[in-house]
Amino acid sequence: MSAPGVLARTPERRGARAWLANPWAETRFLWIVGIAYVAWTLLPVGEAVLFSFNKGRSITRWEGFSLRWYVSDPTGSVLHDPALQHAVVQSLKLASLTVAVTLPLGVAFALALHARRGPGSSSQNFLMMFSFVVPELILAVSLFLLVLDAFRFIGLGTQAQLIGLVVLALAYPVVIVRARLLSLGATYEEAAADLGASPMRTLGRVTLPLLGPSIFASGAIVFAFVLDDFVIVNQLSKDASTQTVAMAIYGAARTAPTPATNAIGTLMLVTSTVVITLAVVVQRRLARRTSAPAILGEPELAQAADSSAGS
Amino acid sequence: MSKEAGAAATRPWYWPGLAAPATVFLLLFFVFPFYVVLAVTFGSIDPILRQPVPAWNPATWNPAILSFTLSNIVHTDGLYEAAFVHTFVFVALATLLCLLIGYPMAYFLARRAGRYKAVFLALFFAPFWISYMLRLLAWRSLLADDGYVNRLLLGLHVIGSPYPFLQGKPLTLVLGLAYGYVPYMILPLYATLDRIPASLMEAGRDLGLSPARTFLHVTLPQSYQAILAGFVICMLPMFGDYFTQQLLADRANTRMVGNAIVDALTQPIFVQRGAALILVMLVLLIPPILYYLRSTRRATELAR
Amino acid sequence: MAHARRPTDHPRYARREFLKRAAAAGIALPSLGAILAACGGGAQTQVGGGSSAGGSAGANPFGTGGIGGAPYPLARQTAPVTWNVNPADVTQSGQQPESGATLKVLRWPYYLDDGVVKDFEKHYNTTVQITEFSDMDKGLAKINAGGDFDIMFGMNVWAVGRSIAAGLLRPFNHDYLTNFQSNVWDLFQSPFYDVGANYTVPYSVWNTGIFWRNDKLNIDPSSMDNPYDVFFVDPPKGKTHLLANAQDVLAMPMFHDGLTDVNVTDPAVITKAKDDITAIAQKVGGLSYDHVDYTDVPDGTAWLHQSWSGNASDAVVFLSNKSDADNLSYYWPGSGGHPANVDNDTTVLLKSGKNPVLAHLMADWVFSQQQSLANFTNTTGYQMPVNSMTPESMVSSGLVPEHLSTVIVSTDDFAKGSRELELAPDVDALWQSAYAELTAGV
Repeated sequence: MSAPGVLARTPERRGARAWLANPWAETRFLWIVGIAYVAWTLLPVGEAVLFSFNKGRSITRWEGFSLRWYVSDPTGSVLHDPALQHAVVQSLKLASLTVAVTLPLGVAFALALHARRGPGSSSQNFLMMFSFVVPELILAVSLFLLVLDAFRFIGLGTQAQLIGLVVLALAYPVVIVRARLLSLGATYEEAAADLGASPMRTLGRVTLPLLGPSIFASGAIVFAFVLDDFVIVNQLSKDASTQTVAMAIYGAARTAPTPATNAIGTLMLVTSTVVITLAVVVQRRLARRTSAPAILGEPELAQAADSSAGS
Repeated sequence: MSKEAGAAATRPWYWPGLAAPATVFLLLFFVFPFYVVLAVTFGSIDPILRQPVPAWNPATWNPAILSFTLSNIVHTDGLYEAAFVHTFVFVALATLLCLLIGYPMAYFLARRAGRYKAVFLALFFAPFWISYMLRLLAWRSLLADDGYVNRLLLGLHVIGSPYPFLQGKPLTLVLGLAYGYVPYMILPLYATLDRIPASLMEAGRDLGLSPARTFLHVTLPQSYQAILAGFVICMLPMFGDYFTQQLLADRANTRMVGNAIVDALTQPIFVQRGAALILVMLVLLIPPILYYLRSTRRATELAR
Repeated sequence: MAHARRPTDHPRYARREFLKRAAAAGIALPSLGAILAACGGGAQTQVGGGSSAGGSAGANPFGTGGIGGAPYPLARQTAPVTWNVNPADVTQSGQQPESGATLKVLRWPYYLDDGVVKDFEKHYNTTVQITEFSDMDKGLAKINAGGDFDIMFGMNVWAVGRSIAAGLLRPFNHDYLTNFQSNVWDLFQSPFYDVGANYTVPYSVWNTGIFWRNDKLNIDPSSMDNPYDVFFVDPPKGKTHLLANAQDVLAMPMFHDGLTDVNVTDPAVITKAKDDITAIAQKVGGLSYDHVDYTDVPDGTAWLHQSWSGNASDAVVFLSNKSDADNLSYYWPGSGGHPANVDNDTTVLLKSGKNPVLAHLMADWVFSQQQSLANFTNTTGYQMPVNSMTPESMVSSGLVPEHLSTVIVSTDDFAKGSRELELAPDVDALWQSAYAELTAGV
């Protein structure tokens, strides 16, 4: 910016006139494209949500606003169609169970990997990352064959779907918690050890609380991610009793969707958004309360840590 | 003494045990199933119920189904040849499209969004928690004969009668695939571009490079790694995608490998073929997967 | 075969209304039915032991008769099969129905009327638990996976042999089947695929024909030399649909060529059939394969559809405008003496079930005059082979519109029509492969 004469700039015009004068300037161009991109990505979602409130039966022709497909329609609404309700319940059930299983397994794995003790830890790491990158269809089909031809006592159904989702999502808590462990470094644990805390106590009173926000965040991410899963739950489904919302939307979209399809999709969307928002909010609060200086009783440091604690 | 070595000195003994549950779980439900795939591919069919009988002992493996599948992939007019060709072409085009859209967006997010960065971050990555199936449902209604896209085009007199977007049009499918996976491209690109220090860019300008050349000679080279990573991250899930084709372009001329696999699995007689196709897909995708894992491991090590 | 159906907003007839109509039409005409059955006999009515004519099976552990190719006998009309029965498996006569039991029923979607089920529950003071399957293979998988199901409604004939060989079925004790003996067509008292009806009783009958919109297409298959030409000569572009399974699809060009036995083993014949369909696909710019003719044709997605009679007669319910029923036409080429398919499926008892007596009683329950009519009218739309439901009575009571009358199957038709039967594993693979190539567009 300092070399004179190299960057002769035209006098800047402000605001809308500037935009109209030169819409191709790099930044403005990017802004236009950025907004267009957001529209392209999110307007269809808005349309889908909108049509869940359609008065008529169509998902292409708007006939007015109504809660028909949520509550009033006597056979087709979410309130009155047991199949739709069951799909919602199955989705929520699977997502919650997946979080309940992946968090303990994943956090423990991350801790162990962080310690990097013992043989095979890098191959364990490799295994975890490999499971993260493999296309979901391969996971789904190999598990499909597993429960039909090897572990027949499991068979298709909710158990199999849960197993598949755990394999799919296990890497998330691992990656997130490991990142947090890396950024924390060893200082706090060393300090606790110096003060005479046993490894168990360190784990329980220093490490895990410090990891709290990350664990919570990864739980929320796993929940939102798995809630809408399709490939694995579809392949490992037994019959109509193990159908999830994603499967119901898929089935309806291929035959004859009604706005009730949009309705259950919207319900899941709201759930995910709430969960993610909750995660962001709670994580910020938790980070403040469980930052190391706060735990070690140094309020000034806690204030300072606030700004850097958001992971 | 490095941080790690110091930490290791105080590390308690039971830490490795903590990895056991997850490891066992992955061995049982991730690694072992691959052996089941092998056993089914090289097994046989029960002649009474026509269901696959896996061959657990490698000595009894029968390669007939695998060679049948491979020859049907390789030979023109083979059962799976078209599906593989379609997949390679569509995935390549869609990934390219992801890059063309994703790079500017990542650049925008990293360097130009200013105080709206957090907002755009949320908006750009919202698709990660919004159901893909819901978005596909939306496109099905938008692209239908009486959907808004056709109504707009008819209204503007661009077309005379509704265009059948959803009846096996490769363009719809490629756009659909790109639509689904662009955020996967933006993520690594954003991460890298965000990390390029502003001072580097300014140095370029100070040395007399125009903005365009700064981009070409400074920014772009730094992002090669991220571009390749983005390619792989986008491409891998596309290979296994079958529902985008079924919802947006459900005709034989757009059939992909994923469709061939799930179709084979619906018939007990053909489950072996589905397993063989999974095997082939896995073998084909292992190089890019390994490449990606190595490059990310290097990246994390560098970042420490 | 697959009778997957979707929920309809229009219940067919309220039960009271049906009972009124039934009374009005005087549905009970057993004598007429008996006459028809006697006329329609012939090759289908096998009484007593099966012959080994045309078959190689002799000392097969599963049964006698049939033709070879599989570990168990494959039944053909010319080679009927008598399945072996282990006396220990037979339910003893004269027992009371199990008390406090839950009868576990497997059925296709919308393939058994809820009213019929409720009446059964009330009559025998029991509970019935229904599980659906949407695909015959999936249904077999469910039985195989355990779960102690008692009875399955709608097992296709081609699945019977393998189910018996796999030990999945329980033999019938006919002492419990009073309605079956008195009301079911004679030709099913001892069909060729199960001489003596040891393991099966029939459930639905249907024929496979041509279903079209007469307001969009000006065709008259009944007057054509070869009715199947409607698919080969000038089929409507983008509006031609076929059924979605290998046997129905590939048998159609075979019928077109005049073959009456479409259980073909010759790869060349199968390939020709496949090539014929490919040629049609090219003419129409792509064929659609589905089982939803009952909505496709009424809503105009399809103008010409290869269909099962039950779906065609059901389509009237799915019209948005009832007066449009006149736009629907159906023709069974068999009624004009051309080769065509007629078929039935079965009800079978499952060995894994814990309530054999109740299962017997339920299998027999649907054959009573009242229940069979309710089943057909209210839910399934598929005709049952009972003497109390004759073609004349079905038309005169208004259950079937006159211009769709060939949807009705008579015992006569079974003598005229061709069956799609169980194929040997390697032959089956040929058929399935050819069909897979068709749907893959290869």
